[in-house]
Amino acid sequence: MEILRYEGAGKRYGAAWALRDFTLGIEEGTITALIGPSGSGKTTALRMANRMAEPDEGGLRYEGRELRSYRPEALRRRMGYVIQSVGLFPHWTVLQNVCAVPRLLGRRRREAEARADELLALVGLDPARYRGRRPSELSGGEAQRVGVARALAADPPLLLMDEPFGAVDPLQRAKLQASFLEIQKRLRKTVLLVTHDLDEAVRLADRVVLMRAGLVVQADTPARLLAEPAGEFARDFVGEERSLKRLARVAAASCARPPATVPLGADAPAADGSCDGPAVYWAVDGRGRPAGFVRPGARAKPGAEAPSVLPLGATLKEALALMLEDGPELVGLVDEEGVLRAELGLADIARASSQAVVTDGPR
Amino acid sequence: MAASEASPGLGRLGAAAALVLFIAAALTPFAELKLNRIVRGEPVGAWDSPAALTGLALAAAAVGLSRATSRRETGGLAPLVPRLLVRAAALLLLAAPALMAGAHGLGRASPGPGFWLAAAGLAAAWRSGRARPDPASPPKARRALAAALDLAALTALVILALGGAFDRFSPYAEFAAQGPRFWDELARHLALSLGAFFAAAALALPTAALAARGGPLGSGLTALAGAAQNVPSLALFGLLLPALAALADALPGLRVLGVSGIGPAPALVALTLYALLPMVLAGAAGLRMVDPGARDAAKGLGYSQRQAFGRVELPLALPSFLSGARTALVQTIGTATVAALVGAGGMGYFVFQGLGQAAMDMVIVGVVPVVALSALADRLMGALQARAERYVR
Repeated sequence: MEILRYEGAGKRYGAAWALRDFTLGIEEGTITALIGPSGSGKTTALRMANRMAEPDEGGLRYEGRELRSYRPEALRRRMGYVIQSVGLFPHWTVLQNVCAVPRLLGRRRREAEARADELLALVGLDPARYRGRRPSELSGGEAQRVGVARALAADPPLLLMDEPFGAVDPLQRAKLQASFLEIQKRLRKTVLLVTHDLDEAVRLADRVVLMRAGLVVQADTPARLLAEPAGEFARDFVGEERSLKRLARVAAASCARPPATVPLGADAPAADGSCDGPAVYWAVDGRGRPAGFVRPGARAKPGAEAPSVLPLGATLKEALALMLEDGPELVGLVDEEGVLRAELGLADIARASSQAVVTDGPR
Repeated sequence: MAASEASPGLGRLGAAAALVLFIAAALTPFAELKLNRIVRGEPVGAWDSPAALTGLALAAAAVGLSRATSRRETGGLAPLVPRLLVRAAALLLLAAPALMAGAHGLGRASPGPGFWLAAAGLAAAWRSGRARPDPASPPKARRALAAALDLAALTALVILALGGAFDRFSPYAEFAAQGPRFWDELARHLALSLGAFFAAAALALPTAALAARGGPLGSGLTALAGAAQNVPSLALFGLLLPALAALADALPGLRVLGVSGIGPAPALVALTLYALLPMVLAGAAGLRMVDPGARDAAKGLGYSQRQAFGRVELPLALPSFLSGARTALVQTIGTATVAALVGAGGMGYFVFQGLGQAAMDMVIVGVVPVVALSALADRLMGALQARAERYVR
């Protein structure tokens, strides 16, 4: 069902149109990413959704009703709002910040605070440690997590996010994106997201809307946008390395193999002369955590360096990047306890990207 | 209090200045001894008075000790010794002129230049004994002891005054001669300054909000407040006399409320206008410095304009506003002295009476409380501002 619909919406600043004839339906429970260079109108489109910007032509419908028929404040309290600069209130604690909207809605304090604790845990911050902190005591990534918790506090069906992870370093951004996907898997919110980062859009969104100079260039699934960019601008924007970008859609686990392991202190099986056996084994400790590599026929000892591993939820793109940076033949996938669950090599990635494994199926 | 605890007691410069002032005080006439309040007196130096010499010596010792203890962490109550010495020196120096008059068999003693130099030195040394926090003695216990010390010094002062120790000290004699009048005028002075200050604060907040938004109304009001600030205070009182008199004539109902050309009404209006500008400027600056992200977030989360102003923008602008309020309050307490000229009373009453009678000691009766009140207001507002700053960080 469509929760929000733009019907030929347009916005003019002076003589220039920031957004023209914008028509888009947003399905409940999906993530839609508006992407484009600066000045493409994506933020204007987002801000129309909660009446922070009013259309000069056309209109919007929210849950089937004219958007104009909602009081702006009431509307905004029912839509989560996350911005790049986070905008936590510096004179309030983390807890007070997260409770902001529930308190506006007149919820009881105890109720709001219990809910805030749940949300802090959900975004990966220990409530006991973080609830009393001031925003000035948080790192950029932590602040943005609190920003997401604050937006979710009143359990809004729709979440508006304007460059939500744009102000943090690439490593933090990847972590935030991963935990955002985790959260989304559980909450199934409808999300409208503005970004200028194609990787982010491809990784997070079910639908990507590429915009330019106030007009929609292409609205498609990430895979189709990457595979069949419509026109020159889309091709340029998607870029040369788009097959690489597609790897960001694929879970590494989907093309990994069960690992060949040898317990520490034991001997790896000798090579039998055929090419079928593994070229290298994982030396694992008593609890199954990787400690190093061992050649066929050799004794398993802890390696000089920790072997390269990724969490189970990593993407193929991350696996490839790790291989290119660290140069291991094999990358291991470990669960939360650090136990080795799967392995994959360069050949697995090559096979996956040549086959039609890249889909828009569930991640 | 925490802020002053962390600051070093007495800087090197402060100590040097205090010592120079004490030496100068010992070398210049400390008091003028005279028969009555009007005649010229006979200057007498501190060298003629054991009390004054002892007081100066104690004060100098306090400064030296304070420097010594501020360089290293001193255990226990050692940092309180300079504090005790300074308070004792103050009592001795205050009592010295009266003792000198008694010794010479003359009726009165007015403070001479040496007295004022010593007073300035004491003001500089007053902070001694506030050495760096010492882990061995918890600051709380030491703070309580310091407060007890100050209370003891104050009690000693009152007992000395009631015992007649200052009766020959001319400014004290003028004060005692005023009787309850002094306290009436002090209350009037406080009512005038605080009334004008709070009225101005109430007006300054909305004006600052308008000014921060940058509209023509806001900048117009700011310009008006700036213009009022630029009119000399005496002239502003003068300008208000006919204006308020005409207003009271036109609307007799107002006269019942006490509005007339002279009296507290023009004084209150003028003082309020004066206090406006510092608060409007500082408040507007504070509002403009509010993080645009916080502002946008407040709007996007569904705060109404009024809620966003009251719960987010105003608290964040508070430290800046309070810095303006601090200036405004100190300035208002001082300027309220002039209000006596339009019949509003206050400490200015003694100042202008004293000027008219060529009785300088009566002028002192009016001036000293104003200086003390200003210093107190500055300290209180400073503490409030520091507290607000911690709150928004």
